Amino acid sequence: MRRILWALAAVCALQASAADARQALDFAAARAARSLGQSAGWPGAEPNGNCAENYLDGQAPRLMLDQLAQKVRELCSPGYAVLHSGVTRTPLWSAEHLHPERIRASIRQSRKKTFRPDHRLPAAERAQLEDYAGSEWERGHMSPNKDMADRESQKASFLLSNMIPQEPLHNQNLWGSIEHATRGLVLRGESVYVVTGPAFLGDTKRIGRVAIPSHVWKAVFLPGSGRAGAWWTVNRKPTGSRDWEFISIDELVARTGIDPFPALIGPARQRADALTQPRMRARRREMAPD
Amino acid sequence: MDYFSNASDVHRVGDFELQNRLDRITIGGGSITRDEAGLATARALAEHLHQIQQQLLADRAAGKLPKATVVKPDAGDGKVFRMAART
Repeated sequence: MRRILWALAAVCALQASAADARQALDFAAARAARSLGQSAGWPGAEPNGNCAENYLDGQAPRLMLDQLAQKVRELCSPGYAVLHSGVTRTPLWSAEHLHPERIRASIRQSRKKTFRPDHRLPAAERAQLEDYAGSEWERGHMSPNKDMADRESQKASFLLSNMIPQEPLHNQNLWGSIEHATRGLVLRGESVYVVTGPAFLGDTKRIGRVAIPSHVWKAVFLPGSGRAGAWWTVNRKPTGSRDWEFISIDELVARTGIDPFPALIGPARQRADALTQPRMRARRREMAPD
Repeated sequence: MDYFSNASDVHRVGDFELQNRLDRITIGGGSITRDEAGLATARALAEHLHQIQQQLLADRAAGKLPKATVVKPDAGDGKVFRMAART
């Protein structure tokens, strides 16, 4: 049944003119077609990945608000998995399972890469290079290139379906430090589940057709020690104060309507353990909740 | 890399990342350490910067270099969806 639904969704998406029919199927497709990247029928097919291996206990992050689930499609790429929104033309979340070997392999990779649109998505739903052209917003990775262990996954990380419009100094300083701190957790010897995504709070602007997130977050869970939490940052030029805070998984769910780890139960969801202090290139200060 | 000729190419030089766009090159941060590796990074980076400079000079010689790049403004759009229960 699941295969039939994705076949339907694929055929539908190929018929760009059948927009209404596609829209009607979108929600069913998102729920049933769990692994778009594994469908051979998509034009310009990207290499396949296995979505479930990126999720804690194989359970994908869960959308807790119905309105988030418009035009969403799960994309399985080598090294990470994304739930893409055709409303924002960004990921809603991007999930990875990191372990020390993977990070050590990543450190050795260094090759030319290219940003490119994700042709697994219907044209009307995907970001194009032109959307970002002429703006000061950077194309910010959700699952970062530096987490990827091989050429194929590094290449896949540059798909625009893994990108959000990100303020340049936020991306390069604050966010880079948080990504670095996450890899640091892994290199201490623990396997870490990571889910990263944007938040769209208040009035949302667009660059081209792509929605600009107000916030960017990264949730982590360390199965070895049972600790969990999320970095929560404002997508703006870091000011040195109120730029970031570390919150519990439950708090993240309350703010975004996205549960990064549905398989996680118990008190670890409510605690915001100071897992590690990112060594900010920007000044490090706690951010009070808005 | 053909600087400013496409919006897709990315080069890694040490920890630095040079992203090509039509109206700008973005250079993501890294460190140049005071050692052999740092020297190699500095040389490679200098070569990239030289190529960027050459392209800008060529643009100017062709009368195509504006005083300042025009930045596309963000478009207002209201709420994409009401994401938050509270903040």
